[in-house]
Amino acid sequence: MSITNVDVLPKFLPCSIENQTPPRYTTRYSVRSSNTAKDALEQGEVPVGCMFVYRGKVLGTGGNEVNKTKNATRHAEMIGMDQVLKWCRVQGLDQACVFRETVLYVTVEPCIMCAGALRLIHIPLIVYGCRNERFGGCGSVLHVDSDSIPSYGASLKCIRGLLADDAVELLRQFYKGQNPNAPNPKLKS
Amino acid sequence: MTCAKKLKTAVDCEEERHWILPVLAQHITTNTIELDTVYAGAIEDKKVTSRLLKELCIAYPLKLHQHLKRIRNSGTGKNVRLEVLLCCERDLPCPEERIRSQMHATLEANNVSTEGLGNVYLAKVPRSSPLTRAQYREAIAYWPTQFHEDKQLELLLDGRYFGSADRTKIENHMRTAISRARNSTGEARVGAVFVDPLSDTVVCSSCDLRDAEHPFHHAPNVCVDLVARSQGGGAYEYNGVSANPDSSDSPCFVRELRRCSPEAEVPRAPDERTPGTRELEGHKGRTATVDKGLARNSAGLPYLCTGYDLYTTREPCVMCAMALLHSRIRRVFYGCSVPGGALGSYYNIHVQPELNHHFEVFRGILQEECKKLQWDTV
Ligand SMILES: [Zn+2]
Ligand SMILES: [Zn+2]
Repeated sequence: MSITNVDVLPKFLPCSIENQTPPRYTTRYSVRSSNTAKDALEQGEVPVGCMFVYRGKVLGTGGNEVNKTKNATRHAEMIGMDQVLKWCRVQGLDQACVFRETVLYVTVEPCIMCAGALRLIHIPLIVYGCRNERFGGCGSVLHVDSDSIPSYGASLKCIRGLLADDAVELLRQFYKGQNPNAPNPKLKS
Repeated sequence: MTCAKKLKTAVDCEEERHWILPVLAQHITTNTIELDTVYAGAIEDKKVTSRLLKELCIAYPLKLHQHLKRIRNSGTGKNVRLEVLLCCERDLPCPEERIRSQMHATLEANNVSTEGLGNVYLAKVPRSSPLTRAQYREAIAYWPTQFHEDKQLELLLDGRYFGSADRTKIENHMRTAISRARNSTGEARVGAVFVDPLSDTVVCSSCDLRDAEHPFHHAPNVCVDLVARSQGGGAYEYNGVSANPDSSDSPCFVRELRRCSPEAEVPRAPDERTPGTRELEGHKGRTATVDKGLARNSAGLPYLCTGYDLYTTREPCVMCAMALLHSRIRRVFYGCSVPGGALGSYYNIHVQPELNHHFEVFRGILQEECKKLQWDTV
């Protein structure tokens, strides 16, 4: 278990976010995200799991549902965000205000698409495990998290390396179990 | 001359209106070529040329510069003379070997006889093989270079890739996208249409459905989910708008899915030239011909958006562009560019070298009409 950078939270984040991200909480959320990733693996999906935490409250959890929905965009983050949006609707809260104080914990670096979606709704902070060398949008392939993309809102902060080894191990199991002759062996996280 | 030029301008204006511009990777469109430094020498006695070449090829093979010709003619008329590319600067690791006046000695030490070789000088040569005729013209100004023209790429570059029948089809699909855009209820007026180019049929279409509660329901993203729905999947709940399978005029339309074998459904002449049936050569700097038929799953249904084309009134944002890439789209046609766009303006997702799927993108289709649609967000 490797935890890096957790105490080095950016200073300008809302107080509520700083309060809810001491190392032991962070680890707890990361472990729970990791369990969601394991569930995804059992469902035959790319094992990525995530959790959206608002003021210490878990508003959404998600694992990949690409195969289930036949929609290649149903990544863990998108599933989780839909749950948060639904929660806001039910509570009658403005989703923009909620997302501004929400932290995303995810086992793998969000892809370019998810990083774009996260910026669209102004998530301030992402805590993720391992890098996503193939599609990563928070530094690995592109810097969607920090680029100044016109009309895409403020940049977001990332803390990486939490339970990275666990995340890598799950991905390894997934790709090992895949039939190399399958029509689309690259169905992705 | 003047007359011909005038005539051409009139045609150009007409052409301009129907312009369909490829959005290509920067390394294809650039005409600035990178250069390397080499040592070259004058050949004073032509009889030694073949012997010299043989020895040079052994001592200093042009590993990274295979596109360069080793010999060139310089000067004109009676002053024509032969010059030979001796070696690259990086072939000479020791600084003392790099002294130009010592070059003859260096060559001799590497089993190249300098008999018949004249002055040695430094020359600039193109670093890599030219990809386009324009790059080739730049390259040969420095040193003779080999060039294999990619005919399709040249057609693309000068706007002759699509014939008038193709243009009409493309514009008609864009008109559908524009009429969808007019249905948009939220903050952005954008329309999107997925087309199966083999049968030229609309698979699904949608207006932009984003609002405060559905920030991700951008028109292209909605269409990706509608394609999933047409394949028995799908995930979105469309607030107040139901995806109507019956009317292709509804704001959100998805064709009823049929189980079919592709060949039975879409008879296609083997010689038919469907636009863009091949991957653009040079997208990754090398040739890649890909089977562009629709990939089907075991039930004979299409897989994701493989083989489909998207028509959308404005350039997709980074989220939508990557959603299209994840869905293995074949081509994207869009109307107007936006500063934050991810297919040519801010990013070039479709030709990003690290990504595992590349697709063709064309812009400028009915650009003015697309621009007129009111829009103010991503
Ligand atoms: Zn993603
Ligand atoms: Zn978008």
